[in-house]
Amino acid sequence: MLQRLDSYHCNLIGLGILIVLEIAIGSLVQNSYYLTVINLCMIFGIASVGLTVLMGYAGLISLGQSAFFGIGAYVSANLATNLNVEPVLALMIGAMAAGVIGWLIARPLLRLSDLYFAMASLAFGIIAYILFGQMRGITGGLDPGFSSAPFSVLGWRLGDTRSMYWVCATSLAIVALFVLNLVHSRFGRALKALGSSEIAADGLGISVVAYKAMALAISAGITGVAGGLFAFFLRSFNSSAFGFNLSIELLVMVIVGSVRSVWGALLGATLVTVLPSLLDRFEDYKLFAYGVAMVIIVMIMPEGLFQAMIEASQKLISRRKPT
Amino acid sequence: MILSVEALTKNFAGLVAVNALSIQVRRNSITALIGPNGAGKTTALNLITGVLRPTAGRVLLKGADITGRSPHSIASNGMTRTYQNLQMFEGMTVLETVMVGAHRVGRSTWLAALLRAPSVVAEEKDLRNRAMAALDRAGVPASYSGRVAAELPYGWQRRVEIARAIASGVDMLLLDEPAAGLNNQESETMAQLICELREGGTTVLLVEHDMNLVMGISDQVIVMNFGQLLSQGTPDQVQNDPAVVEAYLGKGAEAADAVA
Repeated sequence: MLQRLDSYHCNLIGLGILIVLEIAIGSLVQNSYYLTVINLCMIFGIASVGLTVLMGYAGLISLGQSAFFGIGAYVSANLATNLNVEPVLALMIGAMAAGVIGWLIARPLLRLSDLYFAMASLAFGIIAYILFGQMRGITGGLDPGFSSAPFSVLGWRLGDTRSMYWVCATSLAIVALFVLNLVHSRFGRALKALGSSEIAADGLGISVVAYKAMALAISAGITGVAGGLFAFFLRSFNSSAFGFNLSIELLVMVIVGSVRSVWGALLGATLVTVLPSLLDRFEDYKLFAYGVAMVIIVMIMPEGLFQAMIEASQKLISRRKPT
Repeated sequence: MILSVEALTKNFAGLVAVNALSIQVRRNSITALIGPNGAGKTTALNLITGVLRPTAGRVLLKGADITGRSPHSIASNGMTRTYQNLQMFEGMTVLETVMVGAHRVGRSTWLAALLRAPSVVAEEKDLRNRAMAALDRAGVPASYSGRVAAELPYGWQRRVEIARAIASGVDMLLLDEPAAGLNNQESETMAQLICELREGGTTVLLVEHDMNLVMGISDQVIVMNFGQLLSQGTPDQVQNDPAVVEAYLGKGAEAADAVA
C-alpha cells in the first residue's frame, strides 16, 4: 500500500493537488502579509526540495546549502539589474551557476565520507558567506546590500507580491515535477541505491562518485532557483540572509517534513517558515517554544511529518474496512 | 578462460592475506572457492571484483586486464557479485531493486530523466521487463515484485540479490556464500538455481562453506589455506587430496593436541 502511494502516478496526483491548492490560495488570499509568508514558504520549499534530492536520495548531508541559495540570488539579481538580462533567463543562469559550482566542489568534497562531507560543506557555506559579505562590488555586502530590478516576463512587470505569488507557484510546480521525474527514473533509483549501499551500487556498474557529484549539482541548482526567486521577491536584501542559519533551517525543514519525499520537504518548509509567526504570543520565549515544538515533532515522528500523516491515514482506512 | 587470476597477492600491513593466488575459470562452468575460516577467500573475491586493490598480480576478465579497476568499471566489463551480508537497498521494492541491477543496460541521462523524455519512458519499460525476466530466472514469484525487498524472508532476499546481479546482463557472476543462513531444503533449491544459471550461459565463481552444495554442483573446486592455493581440481580429486583433508581436519595426533 505504502509502496503504491510512492509510485510515479500517485505522485503526479499529488502534484495535481498542489497546483489546485496554489490556484485556490492565489485567488482567495487577499491579505498581502499572508501572501508574503506564503511566497517565502514556496521559496524555501523549493530550496528544501533541492536538499531532499541530496539528503533523502543520495544520503549526503549538506550544511552549506546557503551558499547555493546566495549564488542563485546574486547571480540572477546582478544579471537582471546590472546587465539587463531578461529576469526569467537570469533566474535560469543563476540556477545553472549554483549547479556548476556545486558540481565543482563535489569533486574534492566527495573524497570525504559522510560526516566529514557534512563538515566540509559547512566550511564551504561559511566561506561563501564571508565572500558574499566582502565582495561588495558585486553583492553590496551587509551594507548597503543589494537592490534588484523587479521580476518581469517579456517586459511584463511582475514585481508586486501578488504577481510574485504566481511566479513562485509556477516555479514550485515545475521544480516538483522535475524532481518527481528524476527520482522515478534510472538516475533516481541509482541515487537511492548508493545512498543505502554504496558497495552494492558500485558493484552493479553505478559510478558512485559521478552520481553523488551530479546529485549535489542538481540539488545546488534547485536551491539556486530558490535563491533567485528570493532576490526578485524581496528586491532589497543583504548578505546576512545567506548565513549558516539558512543552511540549518533548510536541514530542519527536510528532517521535520520527511527526508525522502518532495511533499515532506514542502510541508517542512511551510511549518518552519510559519511556526515562528504563530509563536509570536510567546514573546521572549518564542525561540524556546520553537525549539520545543521541533524536538517534539522529531521525537514522536522520527520519519517526519509527512510519513507520519500517511501512516496515520492508512491505519484509519484499514480500521474502517472490515477484513 | 573467462577469468584468469595470476599470482594475486594482498598484504595488510605485513599480514599476507592472499599470497600468489592463481586461478583459471572456464566459460560456462561453476567454480567453488573453499577453505577454512581466515583462508583469504573473501579477500580474494574482493580483489577480483575491485573492492580491494591487490598488492601484486593480475586479474584478466575475457582477456582484458581489470587489475585495480573500480567495481563499477569491472561491472561494465561483464562481471558482478553478491554479498555475504545481504546488501539490500533500504525501502525499495523487489522490482525496483532488480531494476537497479539493470542500471548498466540503460543509457538515459539525468537531463532526459528530468524532462521525462519519451526515450526515458521507453527505457523504463525495458528495464522493468528485464527485471521481471531476471526475477523469473532467479525463481522469485512475480507476486513478490511489489513487496519491500528487505522485508522478505532471508532465503528470498538471497534470490532477489541474485536476480539483481543477473539483471545487469553480466556473463560472470561471483557469489559470496549464497547458501549462508539457508536451511537444507533452501540450500538444495539454491544449488539448483546456480546450475540453471550455468545452463543459461552464466559463469559462476562462488565462495561457500556448505560442502554438499559445493561438491554437488561444482565443475572445479579451488582450496585455499593461509592465503595460498592448497589444491585444485574436480570435487573428487579435491576430496581425496591428503593436503585438503589435513587443512580441514588436522593431522591426527597434532589435531588432538591442538584441541586439548
